[in-house]
Amino acid sequence: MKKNSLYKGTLQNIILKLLSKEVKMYGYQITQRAKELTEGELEMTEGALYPLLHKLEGDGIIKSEVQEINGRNRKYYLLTDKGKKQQALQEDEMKSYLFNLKTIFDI
Amino acid sequence: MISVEHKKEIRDYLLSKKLPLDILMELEDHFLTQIDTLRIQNISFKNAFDEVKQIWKEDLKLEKAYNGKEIAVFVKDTKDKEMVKIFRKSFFVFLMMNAVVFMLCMLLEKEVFSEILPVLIMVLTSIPAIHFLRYINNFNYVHQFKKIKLNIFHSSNAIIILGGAFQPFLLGKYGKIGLQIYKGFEQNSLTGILSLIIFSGCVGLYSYGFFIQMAFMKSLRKMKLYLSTFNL
Repeated sequence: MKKNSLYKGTLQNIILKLLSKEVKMYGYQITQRAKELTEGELEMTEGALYPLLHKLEGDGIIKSEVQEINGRNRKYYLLTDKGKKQQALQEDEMKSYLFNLKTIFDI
Repeated sequence: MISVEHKKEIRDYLLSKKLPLDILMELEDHFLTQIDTLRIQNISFKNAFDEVKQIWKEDLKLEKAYNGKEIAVFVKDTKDKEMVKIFRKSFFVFLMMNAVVFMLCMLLEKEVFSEILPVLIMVLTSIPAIHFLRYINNFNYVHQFKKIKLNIFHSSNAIIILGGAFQPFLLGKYGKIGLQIYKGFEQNSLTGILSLIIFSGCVGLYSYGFFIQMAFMKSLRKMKLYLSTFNL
């Protein structure tokens, strides 16, 4: 992350959430979508993104497919069934975590 | 639109970072898209490429790997994570093998155990060999790419050969080792326990090589489309 190290521990949640909404995405698209949604606040470093994508793929949470787009080979990432379940679970946990944080910081 | 010359410049830059092809394929597309995006803002190719190189500077910095060869920081990070995961799996095999042999020692007579152990060794040895023979064309295909690694698992097959080299030794010395293992549990002898650890360690090492072989094949299957159009 470029701007805020607080995002660091949530990178996996962010990637899974984006994939659950967009169905399939490629690396650069993930970084740009996160940046766009947070109006430039969240800038993922590529060096953090790709090792994590490979780890998630190795864990069977996401899968990849290579497609030829305009003469270029592009690697897309998709959630697996296991990944979809994990994403739903992590989203619930994250919402509860954010709710609790908000409660504390609102006092 | 990026010209063929500029594409070559990008590829040459990525090749200079000693990236394996599966990662190169992904980063090449990333670089091209990133440069395209910058060029929409009327930035020249040279400036856009320099800017992207700057973004990636730290991640593509070359450092020494464990084998003394140069590797990009980012690739090393990815490879280390994968290898740790494979190591954990093979360590589990090591532990399981200890448990299986322990159970066999407890349940079987010495003579029956003596019959079963070589069968177990041969079955375990044949699994990676069958896998290799099944995909032999793919493994041979790799020889076309001598100057570049196809993925992070390329050239790791030496481990399986190393692990496999112990198998004839174990089979040849089986009588003694089998007996030592059995005695180890019967009499709590240190030599017996050590024999079991050596046996399970070889199986663990062999499975480490096998898991790498499987990961290599999985990655290779995904790269087929790319490899069909790839020219250095």
